[in-house]
Amino acid sequence: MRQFLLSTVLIISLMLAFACSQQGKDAAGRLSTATVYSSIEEALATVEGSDKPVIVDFYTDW
Amino acid sequence: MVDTVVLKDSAAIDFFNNEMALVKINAEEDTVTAAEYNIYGYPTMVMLGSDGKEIDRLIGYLPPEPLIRKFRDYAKGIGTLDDLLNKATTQTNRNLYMQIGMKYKFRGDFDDAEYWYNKAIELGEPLDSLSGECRLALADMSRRGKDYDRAIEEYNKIVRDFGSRYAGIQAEIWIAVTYRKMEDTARALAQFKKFVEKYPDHEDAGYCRDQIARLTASSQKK
Repeated sequence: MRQFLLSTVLIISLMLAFACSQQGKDAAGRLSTATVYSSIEEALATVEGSDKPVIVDFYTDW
Repeated sequence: MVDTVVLKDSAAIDFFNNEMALVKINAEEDTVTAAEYNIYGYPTMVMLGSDGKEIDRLIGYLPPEPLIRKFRDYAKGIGTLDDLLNKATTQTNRNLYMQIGMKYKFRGDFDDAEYWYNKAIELGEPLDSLSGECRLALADMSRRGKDYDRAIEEYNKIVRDFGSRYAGIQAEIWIAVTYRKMEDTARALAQFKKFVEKYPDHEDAGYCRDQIARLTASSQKK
């Protein structure tokens, strides 16, 4: 019985962690995603009037 | 289009969500933007002011903490190209000149980079380690500018002048890499082999052995 309860708790915890990660949150419920813009113009329009800089990350898949 | 990216580091998430606006560009797909910003190494992160003007850039991977620290400094105007140029008006400092050269090189502004690297060389001993690094950077710009013959000539001079010191050893590898880029497999192979024979225990010998294996395999296929 005790083993069954432990297994159930473990499965529920794993499901919860998975659900949170799908929503961009970690197991503690903190936001684990950052907003990303797909164009420089769009990001510059967002920061217009502020002193917030724009970081352009150039990457490749290889 | 606004999207999200999953990051592992919580400080990086806070930083990009609250202090900066992050744009991710696949340089293989958006080659026009990559060319516009003279991107030639990955990853490259370019920081722009809200007016769209480049503040500075970082090339290569940095762990979250130093990366955030660097960008926060840049946002305050610390350590940027403008900051270093301003310092150079009051300081005679070879290290500073070399850093300025490097900043221009990273931006693909090779003429200005060449000016500052040469200034750093002229101010010191021609064969000291800083001069060696500057000369490697100058040769590297020739290679990146696809002036391969000039690059080979410059690397050979570095080998001749610096021998088995750091710059000389690095130049030996870059000669091989440049030949490979020129698709001169025979010379590239000979140069990689020469390096392994001369420096069998060097940390880059493994890379050279790997290149020998690859080039040998590809030349046998032809």
